[in-house]
Amino acid sequence: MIAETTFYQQLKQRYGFESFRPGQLETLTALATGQDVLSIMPTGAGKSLIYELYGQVTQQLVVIVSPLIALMQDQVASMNYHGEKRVTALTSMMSYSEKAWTLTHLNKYRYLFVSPEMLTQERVMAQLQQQKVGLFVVDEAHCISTWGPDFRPEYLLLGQTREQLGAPLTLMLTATATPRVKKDIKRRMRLPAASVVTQPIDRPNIYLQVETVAGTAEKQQRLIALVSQLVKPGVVYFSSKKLANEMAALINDQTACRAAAYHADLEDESRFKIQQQFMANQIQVVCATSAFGMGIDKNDVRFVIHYHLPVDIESYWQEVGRAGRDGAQSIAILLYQPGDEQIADFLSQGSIPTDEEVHFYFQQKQLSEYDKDPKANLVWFYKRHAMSEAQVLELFKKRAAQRTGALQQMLRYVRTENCKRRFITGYFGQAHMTQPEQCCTSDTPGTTIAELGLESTAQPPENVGLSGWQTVMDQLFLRKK
Amino acid sequence: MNETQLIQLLSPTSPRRIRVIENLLVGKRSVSTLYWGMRYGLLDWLGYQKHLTRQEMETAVNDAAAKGLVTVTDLQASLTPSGITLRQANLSRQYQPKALGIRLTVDIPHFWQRLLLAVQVVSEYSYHNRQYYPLRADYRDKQAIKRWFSANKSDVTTRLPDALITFFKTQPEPAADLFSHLLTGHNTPGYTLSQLAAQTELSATTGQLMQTDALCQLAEQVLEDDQHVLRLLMHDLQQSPVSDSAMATLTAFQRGQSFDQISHQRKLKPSTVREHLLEAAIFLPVSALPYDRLLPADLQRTFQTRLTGAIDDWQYDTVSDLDIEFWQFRLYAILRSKQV
Ligand SMILES: [Zn+2]
Repeated sequence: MIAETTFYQQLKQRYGFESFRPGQLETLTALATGQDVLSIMPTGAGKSLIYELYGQVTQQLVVIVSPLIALMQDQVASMNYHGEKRVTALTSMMSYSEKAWTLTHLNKYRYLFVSPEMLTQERVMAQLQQQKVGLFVVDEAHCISTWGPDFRPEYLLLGQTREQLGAPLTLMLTATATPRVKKDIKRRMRLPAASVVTQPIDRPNIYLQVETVAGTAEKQQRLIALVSQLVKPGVVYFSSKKLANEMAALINDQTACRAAAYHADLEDESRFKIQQQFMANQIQVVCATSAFGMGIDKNDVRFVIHYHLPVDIESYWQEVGRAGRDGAQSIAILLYQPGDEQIADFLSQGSIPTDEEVHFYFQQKQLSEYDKDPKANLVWFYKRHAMSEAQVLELFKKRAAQRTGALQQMLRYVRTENCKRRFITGYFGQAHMTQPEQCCTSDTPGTTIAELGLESTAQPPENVGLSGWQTVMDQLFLRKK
Repeated sequence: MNETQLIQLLSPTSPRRIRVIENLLVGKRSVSTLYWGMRYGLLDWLGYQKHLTRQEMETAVNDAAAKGLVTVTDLQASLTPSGITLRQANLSRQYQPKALGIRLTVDIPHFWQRLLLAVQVVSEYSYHNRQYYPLRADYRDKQAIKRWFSANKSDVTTRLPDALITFFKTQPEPAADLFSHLLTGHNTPGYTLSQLAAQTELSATTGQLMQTDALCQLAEQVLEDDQHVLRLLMHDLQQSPVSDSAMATLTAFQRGQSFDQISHQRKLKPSTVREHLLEAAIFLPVSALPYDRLLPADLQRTFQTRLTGAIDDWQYDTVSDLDIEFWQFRLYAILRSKQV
């Protein structure tokens, strides 16, 4: 049994903090008593600190299952940043030799990030089974639930995988879980008795605004006006990479602030540079698609604007959660144009294979020709796991209905004339809420940006042009002039 | 790719095949692409733009045609008189690459990864900062940087900037400025190429060309100087322009094996064996191939009397009555190209 004081000592020593953030210590002490835990914490509340500290204190291997390569890379970089070198991410991005080396040197690592797909490979499992896994972490645990927003079939195997690894102590982490999804996570992980640590989902320092605009031109104008008027830094979310690019260019062109697009098309080098520029406030606005910011800890984001209707409340709330992590007043603005739900519906349903596609992929003898197509992979996943075509069709029908329902909820949020905040907390099954004075468009429709203290007074940064290479060299290498 | 770059890649004197230029840039190594790439003097550009799409290429061609700079017949592009004038004027106005050819013998993309990481590591080190987000890099590149850094640790904070300053002094000012701003380090995130293009009024195409060519020139400087601070980063990045498979065929042939034996032993189609030798002939100097075995002296004499005029105007029909195959006709053209 690990004493609470040990956790505090490590917290001070490793991070220089005196106190834990809500939920961290509760989760750690539950783990210390050998309890499996499902911990629900808002984005940015320091989920990763829990397993980092646990690995540190117990000196055991921590395996973290994570759904996105970009997310894993950011987490590895972030742990490197905190001085932890014994960490790596086992991903499909690794070369064959790099992967082989990592697998045969697992004992050199304290933290191993893996994608769920990796855990289906025999070679990987064989090596992992030879290690004693001290803590098995399922990050973004809601991916296991077909009732959740980002269901991933590979997650369904994790319950079994965990048992194959000798049923290690398990921590399931998610930022967004309705009561139904919570129950589903525990059931599918085969851990019905896991204790649940829940934090309030509400973010009282974020004012919730919904604005309806008549058309595309008005929406664009409104975005430009908001970006000029609001205190920065801020993030604007788009549903397409193309629009994120175009609007970043438009903001650069029409306002005094610097913006950059940030999405999956960026190469590692540009991704790194834009992240760092944003951290250093060299750019003030990031135009992102929803993959953005997963690993970035920027606490002073003052606004999050949604240019498109998100596909469900879960992703909306996760993205809103990028604002105001420092606790200072911030704002989330959703720009809604009647008909936006069609784009959202298209995106939301687009990833679900049609009946014809299911039939076609079921007939193929080999996947090789189509293995770049996520839908083909999805169908084959079920085929490999001995499901019939009829069962798969039924499953996708349910999934489509679930997605439609989720989008309807999002629309209800937009349209409700009751408190938006109460709507959100109710959605996540948290009845208790203390309403802030400045709450949302429904309660205080007249609230202005100035009243929230979010009106930008800063002089626009002067465009001084680029310095010469000599200056860059002096700066890079601390050369005395 | 844009129309300016396209015009630079076309000839003022004769039409050029658009697909050859496209395939060269994308890096397709078919013998026909390589042969015409050599004839056009454009082999240095092989694989310069791996992600070039057919659509981008067509847009560049159409834009140039719409402006009356280029005419297109049978998928071959010719410069119009105004195209020729513009091309000539651009030679002094537009950035002209000097060292792209080294890309064939040095893995330049990985050299860039290593340089970026090296600069970041040394920059943070010179500020005595250990807490930073490292650039993501391949395992092999990371290992190379680790070895390099520990071997050079004692004086790297002066030697690396000194080497870069020496390099920048050899560059035109705009290229040096652009290149330096692409680097990243302590409290200096650097800029992306598209950000720099937007701020400097360079086109993205020119920006990329300046970056790549500057990097190629730096690679040359490193290879010319055994004592260069970046030398250790380079040793596993050198490569042969000839593919491994073609090289193996050439070696077998040089050991005295016949085409049939090679084809049998290496399980290759007979046509592939010939293509391998043509590929080697295109990239390697004349002395590296046993031309006398491939083209016997009397055949060469016959070719010499029958094939006259400009090489590009030669027709296989002129010699097809001889007891020869097409690859010999092509090989002779390669040989003569190299003897000019
Ligand atoms: Zn409210």
